[in-house]
Amino acid sequence: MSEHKILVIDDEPMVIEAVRKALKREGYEILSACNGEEGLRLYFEHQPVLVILDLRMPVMDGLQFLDYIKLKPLDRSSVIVLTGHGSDYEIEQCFRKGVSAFIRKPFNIYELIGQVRSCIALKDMKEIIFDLIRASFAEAEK
Amino acid sequence: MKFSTKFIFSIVAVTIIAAPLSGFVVFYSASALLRENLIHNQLEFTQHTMDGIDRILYNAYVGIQIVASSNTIKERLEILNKKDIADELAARYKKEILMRLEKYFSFTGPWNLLFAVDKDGMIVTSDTEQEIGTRLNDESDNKLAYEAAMRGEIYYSDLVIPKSIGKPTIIFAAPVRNEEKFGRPILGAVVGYFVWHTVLQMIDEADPVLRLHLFNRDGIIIGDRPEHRNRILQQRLGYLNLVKKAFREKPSGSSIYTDAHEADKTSVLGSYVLQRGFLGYRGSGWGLLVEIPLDVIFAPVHQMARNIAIVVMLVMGLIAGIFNFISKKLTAPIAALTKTTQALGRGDFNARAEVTTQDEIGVLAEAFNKMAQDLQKLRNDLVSSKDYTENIIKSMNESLIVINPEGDIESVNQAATDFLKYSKEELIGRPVGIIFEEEEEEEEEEVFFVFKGKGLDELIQEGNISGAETILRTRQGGKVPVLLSGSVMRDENGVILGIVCVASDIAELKKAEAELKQHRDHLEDLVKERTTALEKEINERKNAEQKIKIFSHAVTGAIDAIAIADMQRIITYVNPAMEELYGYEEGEMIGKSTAVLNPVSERVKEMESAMIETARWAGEILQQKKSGETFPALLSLSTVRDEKGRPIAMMDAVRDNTERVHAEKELRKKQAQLLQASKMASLGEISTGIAHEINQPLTYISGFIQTLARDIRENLLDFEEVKADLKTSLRQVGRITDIIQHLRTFGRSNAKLTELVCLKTVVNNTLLLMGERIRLRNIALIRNVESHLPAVRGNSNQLEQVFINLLQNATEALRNHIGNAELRVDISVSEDRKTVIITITDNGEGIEQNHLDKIFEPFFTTREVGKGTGLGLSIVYGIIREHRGTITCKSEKNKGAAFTITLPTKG
Ligand SMILES: Nc1ncnc2c1ncn2[C@@H]1O[C@H](COP(=O)(O)OP(=O)(O)O)[C@@H](O)[C@H]1O
Ligand SMILES: [Mg+2]
Repeated sequence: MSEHKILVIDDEPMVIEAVRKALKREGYEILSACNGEEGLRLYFEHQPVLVILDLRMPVMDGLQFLDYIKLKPLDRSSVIVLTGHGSDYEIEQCFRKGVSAFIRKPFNIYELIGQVRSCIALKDMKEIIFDLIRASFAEAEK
Repeated sequence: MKFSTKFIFSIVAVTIIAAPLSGFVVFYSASALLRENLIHNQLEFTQHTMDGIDRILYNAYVGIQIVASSNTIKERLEILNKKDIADELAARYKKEILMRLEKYFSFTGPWNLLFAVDKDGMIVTSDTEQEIGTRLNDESDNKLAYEAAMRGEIYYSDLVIPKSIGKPTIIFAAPVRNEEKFGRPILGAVVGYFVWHTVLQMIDEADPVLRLHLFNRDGIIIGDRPEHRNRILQQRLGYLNLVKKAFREKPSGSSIYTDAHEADKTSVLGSYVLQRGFLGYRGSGWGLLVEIPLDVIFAPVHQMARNIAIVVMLVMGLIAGIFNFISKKLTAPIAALTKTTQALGRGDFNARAEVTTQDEIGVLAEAFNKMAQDLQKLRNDLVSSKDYTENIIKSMNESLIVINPEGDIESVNQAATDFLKYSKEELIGRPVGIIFEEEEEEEEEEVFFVFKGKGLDELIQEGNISGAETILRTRQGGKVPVLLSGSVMRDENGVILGIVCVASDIAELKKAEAELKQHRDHLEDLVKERTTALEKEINERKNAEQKIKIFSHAVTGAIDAIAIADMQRIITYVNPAMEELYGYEEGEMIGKSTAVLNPVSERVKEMESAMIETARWAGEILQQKKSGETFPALLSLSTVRDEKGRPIAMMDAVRDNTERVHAEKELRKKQAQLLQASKMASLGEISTGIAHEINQPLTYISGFIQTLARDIRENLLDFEEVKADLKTSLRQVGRITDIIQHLRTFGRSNAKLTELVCLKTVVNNTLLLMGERIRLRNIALIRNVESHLPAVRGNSNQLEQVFINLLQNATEALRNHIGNAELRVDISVSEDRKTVIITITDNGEGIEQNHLDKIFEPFFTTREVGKGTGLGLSIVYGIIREHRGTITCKSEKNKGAAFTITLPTKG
């Protein structure tokens, strides 16, 4: 299986460390950034399959980050929000902006691992279907 | 005319003719070239636009062929042509053709309409449903297209308006063939209505100064600028002629004419081209005419003309300047010689010609100068003898006036004219009356006596007068006192020749006299003044007696208790209020010592020593009533002295202070409650920050524990890793404990002001609670705490509240700040190390000038109801006051605010 890249954006190094530990057996490559702005740079540079995103951060917060990347269903990446608080308004905004899951801190590692896996599986599935469609088109052209 | 002028004129005449002439020749040849170039460019643009249109239509031409070559359409048409198939099947095939057409519809064309026709001329399918199944109308434009296609041609029409869509379009059609069968039989056709707007867009996009007209071979306008769209499909004879002529002569060209169609009738350059087509698409013989106003296209030519004119002008100016300079050089010596001659003629014998040139003019000038020198010498000798007597008169300081027998002034000297401010010419020959004062008869009798009527005679009789005081009149009418002496001149026969008068100025003398008089007057005034002062003093005495009466009434009736004691502290007088306050009977206190009023205490000793040192004291002190009961009072003691300053008595003024002391206690209690309330309020406000702060380490710890559990279960434990992680976890626990510990002490309400407080710790603790909030709001926090800060005495808890409130306000003021929000905390110690100075500065919204004196009041807030309590700063003020410190605020609207606190150090 190819190595998937996951980008963790959080202003608290300890949280990044905790996520890294939870996912250490899963064989992902983990990138990290301490605010939205740095996160954006890494996001466009590495095109990770998944972003784990904190909401309250200095410089550029999570919601602003989501506004920048404009998630669409057929994108290569999906986003999981991992935050300590979350008003109803924030949760609603996150999902409206295309987030796949919303996890609270302190998190349950099994929940995190499960959500990460299913997000990535969904994206992998999408790729496979696309390949199939492309192949059938090629066939039809001939 | 002068020589130099003549010279310049001839040169200028030559330049004026030559320079513009050459300028004109340059302009003429260059402008012809430039014009040709511009016209050529314009024509090229026209051709380019026309080619663009051809390219668009070529795309449609190819597009319709692509549609016709679709396999689906071929196969289905072939079957449908057989007519013997079931309706159901036919419907399906038609549907399939339609789907194909729809697919092509999107990437060929663009089309208004696309449909397929079978070999019988029946519309098989179309994207407008009502046409399906109808036969092509004989007259319709479609019919032509269809027939051409059935002949195997690829068809395109001129611009037409078919009924079915009701707007201009070009119809394209292509045959559908069975490629596999021999002879490639034609199965039907596809027909497309091209979207005409695509071509019009090309016209729209051209530069707005251009007028573009697209017309067909009949001279009918088929395309025009948006503002003339209503002309489309109208015939224009002009264009028709243009087309006809163009076909006879050459298919493109340009000419200049007045545009009769446009309202403004400007002169324009029109370039036209005829359609050339592109590859297979040959076009329909259209023409494109592009007109552009002459002043726009020829603007560069005009610019060039202007530039050349400027250059010519500059050259002419330069040439004229140079020649002017040269000619001046040449004619200057001649001019100088001429000038000297003229000067000599006027009598100026000092004049010399300054010619230094070595030529003939130089020699002439030298000879001339020699002659002038001789002339001058001769004249000087003549003049000098007469000067001697004149000089004597001139240098006299007194005014000399000579009068002739008729009473007119004959001559005056320099001193006289200076003194009287007349010029010599103004005086000589005038009657002498103009300089002698004559109106005030009584005072200046002597003047009349001397010069008017009888006076003149008498002077003449006596022969002379000397030292008569009189007054002369200056030119401005001013009067000047003089001492006058005069004497009559007679010839040997006794006939009067004239009168000589000498006047000397005595203004200074007069002034001194006046001053003396003034001095005397002043002395008199002094005496008068002294008398009134004495009178006043007597009045004052009377008033003072009255005052003493009033004072004694006032003391007796005063609310404050007043007692007077002699120097041995024996009471000699008390007012009724005193007796009442201390509970004594009337007169009972007299003769007692003041000691009975003061119960023994430290304070009394302090008072005694102050009395010895400064002879006065005021302050709060406990007093004793007759019953022995004590009460707090405000006491002021002072020494009464006689007029020589010797102490003669002591005065006691007392006011009962019980109520106030009570009220103060109440206030303290209220303040403590307020402080607690505001603490709780700020805890509420900062709790989200604290929650966040605790949540982070907690996340790490919980993650660590769960991973650890999993690793143990799966037997994958790595001891080294776990050891390291445990350390990190412990640190995280420490973080949480710190916060909680601190919250506990912060919430407590203790009012002791006796701790030694380290302000650095206070700031750190404050930031433990507030730091997260500040950071999340992108505010740069600058902390500048002096090292070796002395401790202050007080209550760390309360001081922390001060910082929290101030930082909260600052964060609030920076809420809507865009970029570079900054918050500074500076703490330093004064030079004498007696005070600590704390400043908290922000660059937020600042405070209105007229709010500055209100912000420390309780309940003053500019924040929304429910957001601000208006208590923050009043609490801060109270705490700082209790710490015996000060707080001030400086702020400017929209620039920020700075709060400065000073606190005494522990010493
Ligand atoms: N740093 C500051 N910058 C601008 N305005 C301030 C600042 N601090 C205080 N103020 C003004 O003083 C008012 C009173 O402050 P405060 O007593 O703390 O009450 P509150 O904050 O509840 O309004 C505020 O409403 C605000 O208008
Ligand atoms: Mg406040």
